[in-house]
Amino acid sequence: MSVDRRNSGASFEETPRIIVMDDEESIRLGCEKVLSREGFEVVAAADGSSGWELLQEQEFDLALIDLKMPGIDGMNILKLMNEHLPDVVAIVITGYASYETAVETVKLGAYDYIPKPFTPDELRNVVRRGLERRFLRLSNRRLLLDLTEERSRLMTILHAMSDGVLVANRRGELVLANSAGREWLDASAQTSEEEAPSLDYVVAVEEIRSITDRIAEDPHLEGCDEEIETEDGRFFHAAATAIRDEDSGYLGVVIVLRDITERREIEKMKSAFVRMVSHELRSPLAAVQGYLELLVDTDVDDAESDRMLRRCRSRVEALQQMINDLLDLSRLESGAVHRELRRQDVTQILEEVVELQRGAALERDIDIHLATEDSLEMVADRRELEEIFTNLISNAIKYNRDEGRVDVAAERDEYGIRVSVSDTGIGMKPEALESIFEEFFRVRSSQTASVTGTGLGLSIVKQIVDAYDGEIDVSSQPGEGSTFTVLLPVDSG
Amino acid sequence: MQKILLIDDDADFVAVNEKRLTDAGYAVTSAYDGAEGMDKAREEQPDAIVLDVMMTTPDEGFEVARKLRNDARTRNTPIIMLTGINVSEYQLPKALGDYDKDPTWNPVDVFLNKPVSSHDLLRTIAEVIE
Repeated sequence: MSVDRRNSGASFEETPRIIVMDDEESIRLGCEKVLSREGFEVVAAADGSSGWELLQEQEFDLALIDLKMPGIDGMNILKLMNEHLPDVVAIVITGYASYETAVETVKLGAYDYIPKPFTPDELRNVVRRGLERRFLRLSNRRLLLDLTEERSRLMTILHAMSDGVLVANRRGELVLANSAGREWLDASAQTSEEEAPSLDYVVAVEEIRSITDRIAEDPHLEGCDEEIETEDGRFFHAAATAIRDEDSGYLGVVIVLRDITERREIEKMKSAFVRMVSHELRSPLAAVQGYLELLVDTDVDDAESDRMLRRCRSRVEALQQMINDLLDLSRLESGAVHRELRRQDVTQILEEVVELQRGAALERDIDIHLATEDSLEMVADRRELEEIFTNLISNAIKYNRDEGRVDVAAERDEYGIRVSVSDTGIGMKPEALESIFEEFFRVRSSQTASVTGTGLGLSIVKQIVDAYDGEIDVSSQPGEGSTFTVLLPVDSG
Repeated sequence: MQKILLIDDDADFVAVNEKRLTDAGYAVTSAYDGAEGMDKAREEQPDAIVLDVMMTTPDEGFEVARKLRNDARTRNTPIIMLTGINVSEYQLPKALGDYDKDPTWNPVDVFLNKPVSSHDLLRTIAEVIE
């Protein structure tokens, strides 16, 4: 009967390698001949010492070991192999076959034994079984390694997740929690009244218990989504999925917790912003609509109609400015600004802006004074510098008293170019100063009721100044006036 | 002559409505923020109040409405609330406060969206004063 080599060898990635250790030359030659013909690679050693050396130096799948050899005898080779090469299959060749010897060699780690004399068939059979054993050992080892790696990989991934993962069994007991989940439970359990032992965490946190209960009670429920608000005001989205066996038997639940506090805040800010935009766009529309209705439907004298038309024009202009500002702001915030960075003469830009604003100032007998060094230069986008100065100076005029004064000063110091704009107007209370750069914030009172503005100007100024790594400061005394100071680093851009 | 109090921080809107209401035969008093509005409401005892929502703060009007209802002198004065926001944007009872105590509590008689036509405003005022 010939051995189908594919049974034993085909599973090896390389040709199986066998070492034969026997002091009898005929045995060595016989084994080499029979086993080589099977396609195995065979190496022979005439004594235990050289055999052991070969075993250590080279990779073998199987060793045929004579018990009685000069040098290190077979028993000692078995001991050494058991200790150092447990995966190499050892098969003992023995001249004095006896039950006791066989038992002893197996105790020492031999897989099988073959008594002398043996036929080629007996040899092939015992080697084939031995190689199958070797293959099993190798694949088990690989499997074990893979399993350990897989498990630790999974746990690493699980613990690295920023989402909390909780797994509860059918009794609602916690069977797995990743780091984020554990932290979440710790935080929530601290706020619950009863001291929670670790396994009852899930039960102690009421929101989680209600989820596990609901899924446990409803055999058709695949999962559910909940929003949980914690006592410290954070919001979590809990996505729960039922684990069921093939017969829909309930096994437990996996809950993924995601912190959505920031998302909620952004949503809130967004809807507040939309409300403000809606309000700010409708107010001028309402005023214009009201004036037009009066002009068309009622008798108003020429002076009155002239005043109304002027107000309409001013409100429509403000509306247009509002739309421009909104677009500017959205561009600045998205960072999608195209800047033309060139060397700019800040002194010259200030002079031009002041000239353009002088008309509006004269209407209310407000004096504008500009004090600046001869040539203050920096690399910047001209339009953005104009926007900063125009906003600050126009505010200083709008919120001034009649016959007031606006002082614009620019100088260079060790940090950069410092531009300050002071007015002698209504000033602001300390609490208003905190919100002054927020979108749509405007100081509102009977004194400012007729001042038009978008409430976006200072937000835009702040965004631009930030883009240049600059700083903006404000100081103010109610009733006395405000001073805005912008510092623009000169090496930026 | 029936007296109307306008509370709105938009000077043009106040000017327009002063003229509309004066032409319609009402006496009109105006205030440009919530505090001034409260003072005038107590002093002048108007027959109706037209109140803007967004003034110094985004919901100052609600605050004023609540104070008006909690003050014996203005408890029964009809309030018409004007807003530049779609009224549906608000969770009204919650925005108005005291919801936990009484879900039916609503200090405002009528909500109107800005812009409002003269016709709608006058009709609404006539309705609430009755």
